[in-house]
Amino acid sequence: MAGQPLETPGDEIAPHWRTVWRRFRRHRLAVGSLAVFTLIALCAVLADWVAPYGATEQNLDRILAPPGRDFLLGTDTLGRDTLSRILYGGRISLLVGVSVALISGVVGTAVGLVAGYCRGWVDSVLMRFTDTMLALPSLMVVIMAARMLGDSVLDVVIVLAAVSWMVPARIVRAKVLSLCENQFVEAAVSLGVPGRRIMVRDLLPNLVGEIVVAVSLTVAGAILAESTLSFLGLGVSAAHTATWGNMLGGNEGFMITAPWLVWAPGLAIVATVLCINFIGDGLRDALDPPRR
Amino acid sequence: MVAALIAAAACGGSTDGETAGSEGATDPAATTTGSADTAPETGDPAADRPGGEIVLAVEQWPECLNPITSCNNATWLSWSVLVHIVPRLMEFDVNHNIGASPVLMEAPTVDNGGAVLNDDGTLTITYRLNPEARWSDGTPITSTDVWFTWRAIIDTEGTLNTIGYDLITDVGHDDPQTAIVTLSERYAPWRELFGGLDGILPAHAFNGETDISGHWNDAIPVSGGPWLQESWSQQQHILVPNENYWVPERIPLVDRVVMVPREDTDTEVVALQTGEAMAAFPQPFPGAKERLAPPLTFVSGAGTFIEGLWINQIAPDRYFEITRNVRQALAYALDREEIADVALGPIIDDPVVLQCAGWNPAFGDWCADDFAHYRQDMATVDRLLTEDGWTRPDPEGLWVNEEGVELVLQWNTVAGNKRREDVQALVTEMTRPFGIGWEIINYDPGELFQNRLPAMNFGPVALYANSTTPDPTVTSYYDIDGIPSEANGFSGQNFTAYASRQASDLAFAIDAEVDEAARLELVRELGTLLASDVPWIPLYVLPNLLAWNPEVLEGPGGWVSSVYGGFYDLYDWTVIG
Repeated sequence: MAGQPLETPGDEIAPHWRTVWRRFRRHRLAVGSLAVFTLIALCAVLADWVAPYGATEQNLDRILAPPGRDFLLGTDTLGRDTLSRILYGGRISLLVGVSVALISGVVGTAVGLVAGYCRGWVDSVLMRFTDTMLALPSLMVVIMAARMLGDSVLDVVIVLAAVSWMVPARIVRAKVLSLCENQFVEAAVSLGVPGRRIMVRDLLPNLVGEIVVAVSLTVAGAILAESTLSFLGLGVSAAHTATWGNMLGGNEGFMITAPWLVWAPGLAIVATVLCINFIGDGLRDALDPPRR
Repeated sequence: MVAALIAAAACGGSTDGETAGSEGATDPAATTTGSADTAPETGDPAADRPGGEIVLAVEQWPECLNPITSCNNATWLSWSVLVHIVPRLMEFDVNHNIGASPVLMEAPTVDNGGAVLNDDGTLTITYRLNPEARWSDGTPITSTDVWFTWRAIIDTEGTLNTIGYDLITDVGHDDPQTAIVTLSERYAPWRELFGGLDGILPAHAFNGETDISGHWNDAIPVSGGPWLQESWSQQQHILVPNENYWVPERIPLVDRVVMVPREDTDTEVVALQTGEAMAAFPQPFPGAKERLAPPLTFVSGAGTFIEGLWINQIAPDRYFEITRNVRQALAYALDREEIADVALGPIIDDPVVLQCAGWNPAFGDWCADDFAHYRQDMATVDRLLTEDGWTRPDPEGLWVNEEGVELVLQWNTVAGNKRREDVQALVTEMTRPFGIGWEIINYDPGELFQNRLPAMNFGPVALYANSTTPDPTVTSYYDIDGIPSEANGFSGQNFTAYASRQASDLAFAIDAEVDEAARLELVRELGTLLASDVPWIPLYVLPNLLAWNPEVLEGPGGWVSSVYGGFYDLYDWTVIG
């Protein structure tokens, strides 16, 4: 072994971000999706300036007005502009999606990292718990938890994050088990480097690719889950703020008479989720070329 | 009986608010007095009948048919079966006034000596039965049937409701044409005993058994109404004319009525649109005006469910005392017509704004315009809140009390209920210029109604519906000792924590008054008091809808608001072509 250089973390194994970006750009669908998603996100973030009306601004003399010059996507049962509500609602839907993804990413990474590195009884306990959580019917768990908690944005984020961390945990653990077979980990252990330091300094940088992909796909899942909950009347309350989900929920009776109330938020959800999924595909391919 | 009525009200109806044509309505009161009016025609009714078959779509198909067990907890058992078959002593007319049915010669009243309050506190009611009245098998309807019904309600295992009947000490039936009912104490809703939504049973059909839990669960072979049941199953219910019915005005005009179950409102409407059914009595739904457009048509009318703002004066989450001035200020900050338009506009054209107290039916003589003076009035809001020590440092901002607490009210309703959440969104904007703010926290129905409401852990403001009965009993709502608390084990129904001795005494007096006119006077007095104290703010009456295809059916619409359901006057409907 003497004379053979040790692999170092963040060098050969960790992805080189310039290379990743180059590979990502080759994925045209992902690049296009990134552009669309960026536009959607920007419009949502800048809704105060972009939206033609306020999210709660009511035009009671224009209730259920069809799409037209004054209201590009029509109005709802309180005469509120559908386009403006989609823009403002996008803030909440994206906030929920990103928050859930970040929380589940952090929790899943921590669980997977500890389980994969420590192995033994720690791994058994953590993974059996993870398996148990995965075995639960998540929609039922979410509905029950949502009923017990409330209908605020924070409540919804907590509920969705609680059932979203297991997949990242599984992915991270598998990768850690693989990384631990590498020389730089063995060397660090033999040199007496504390386990916590190995996990944070040596292993974590090499997990970025997996984590980014898992988190990006969780965003899409969380947006869909929030929509489902809101449609069932258990998500973020329409009385608090508009979300794409609660814009859909309750308006199914207008499918024929005022279809814009359904298809406008529906399209926003579909477009965003598709974009995020394509971006996730692009990232996976860029970060892990052999999978292509 | 009350439970059955409440169940009925869960889907349905009143009349004053009718918004479209109502051809074919027949006032049963007009057919109920004296034998001269009710003499059978000399001709053969079947020969004069135009004939044909009517197919109706029905929601919430009943599981069984027994009229006095839990089967009758299903609204649609009453609407689709019992009201057409089971005779009643007293019944509601199209305006929800209760009077004699064709079974009686006349309605007993205090004035005609039919209802007598005895010196010992007992109440005696004498029913004079119509000698023409008979069951479908030709057996006369007699006082023995009244006696038997009383015993059956008391003796049957699993009787749904014995309220009122358990006060009866005897039903005298020595004279077949006179039933003398004696109650051990005053009972104001006595008119609904053996009547209203209850009825009487044929004693001869049960072989002397007064526990009838094992009878009439899947067939009712004997009828005392215009129709006779030909068959009933989970797939369909068929009615044919009762050839022995003695009221000429209610002899059915068609040969058969077939009712078919439909899973929900949507499939019910689809059945109408595709021609599978000729008429339906669907629950009100957004987009009704468009989906029931020609070739279909519909009428709407005020139902028996009403919605309003219930104000919990002892809410744990209140940030200040919910004084009368605060409650009145809130009432003066609301445009209730606008609220009704937004809540019900997608369903009907002319929503009915409710102007009377929360337990009152929005029909008949009970509902006065007690709350009509509450219209948006900035000056009055200013005066009321200023008198109470509130100030408004920022003319665009919220009122603030002496402790610096802003006038923000927590508001609960059912999460995901679009109509109610729309109202919350509307009112939030509506009261902003009046300096009143809201903290909206909504719950699923189980949490709100089963956990929070009984424990008084809601509000201070909650938006929900309650059912009303045509002959209201009110004590439980305003009993000063009925405010749910730890001390009384959270029993009672005074959910507004309205601690008015005057209102409580009035409520008790109303429920003990057997004279209708005197009772009405007390009701009005209580209504005026409630409008002044504002323990709740009435908003609107939920509508009933009756839809049909006028190209194939003629006659529906007159009873859309009835507690008997929109199909009640089926006997007057005819098939076109």
